[in-house]
Amino acid sequence: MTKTSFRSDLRRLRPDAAAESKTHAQKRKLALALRALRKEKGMTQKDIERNSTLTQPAISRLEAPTGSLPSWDTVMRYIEACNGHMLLGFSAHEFDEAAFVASQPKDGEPVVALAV
Amino acid sequence: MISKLYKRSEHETEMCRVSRPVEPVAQYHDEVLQDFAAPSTACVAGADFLLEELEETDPDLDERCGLLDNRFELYALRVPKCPHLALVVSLDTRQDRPWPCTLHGLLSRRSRPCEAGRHRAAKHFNLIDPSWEPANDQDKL
Repeated sequence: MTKTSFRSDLRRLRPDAAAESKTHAQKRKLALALRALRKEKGMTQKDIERNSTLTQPAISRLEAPTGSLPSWDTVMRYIEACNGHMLLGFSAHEFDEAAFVASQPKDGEPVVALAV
Repeated sequence: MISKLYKRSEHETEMCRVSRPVEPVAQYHDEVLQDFAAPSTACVAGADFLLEELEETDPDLDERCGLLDNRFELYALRVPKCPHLALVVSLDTRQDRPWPCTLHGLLSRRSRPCEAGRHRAAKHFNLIDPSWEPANDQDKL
C-alpha cells in the first residue's frame, strides 16, 4: 500500500481549502517567510507590536496565509521590528530559492528565501 | 516553498535543510482527519498553513500548553483567520532536533483545547496516567 501524507489526504478531503491556498499562494509564502524570521529571532507577535508601530490586528493580517498582499512599508516595519534583514532581487530568469539558501555561509544565521 | 537552513543541535555545526513530517499517530490518522471535515474553508486552509510551517519551524512558546509524560511538549496553536479553533500538536523533546511533531487534532477553543489536547495526546501515545506539567499561562487557553 502506498503511504500518503496527512496533508495530501487533507487536500483530497477538502479540495476547497486546497484551492483557497492556491489562490493566495504568494501571500502564503510571504507569511511563512515573515513568521520564520520572527521565530528565528525568538520573538512573539507581542514583541513585534512592542518594537514597531504595527498593531496586533495588522501583524495578524501580515502573518495570515490569505488576504491581500501587504504594502511595502508594512513589510519593512515588520522586518525592522524583528531586527531582521531582507534581500530583494529581480531577474529575467527564474530564481532557485533552495540553491540560494544552500549557498549561504554554513556558520551564518539560518535564512529563509522565497522566489516569485 | 520556503527554503531554510537549520542547525541540528548545539554540538553540531553542520547546517542542513530540515523538513520533518507532521503526522498523526498512524492508528488515529482517519480520526484526526475527520476533525478537518466540517470546519469552514478558511479554517482548514489556515490549519494546513500551520502544518506546512511546522514542517520547518517549532511553534511559538506562548502557545505552549505544557509537558506531558515528561517528554511531549503540547501546543494549542491559533489558526489564522479562524479564532474558534486550535491546532493541537506535540513535540517529542526526548529525540534529537528537529523534534518529531505529532498532530493530535483541530479542536474548539471554547472547550479548553489544552485540556482536550492533553487527553487526546495521552490516548494517541497510549499513555496511562501520564505526568502533566502545565505551562504558566495555559489557563488563558
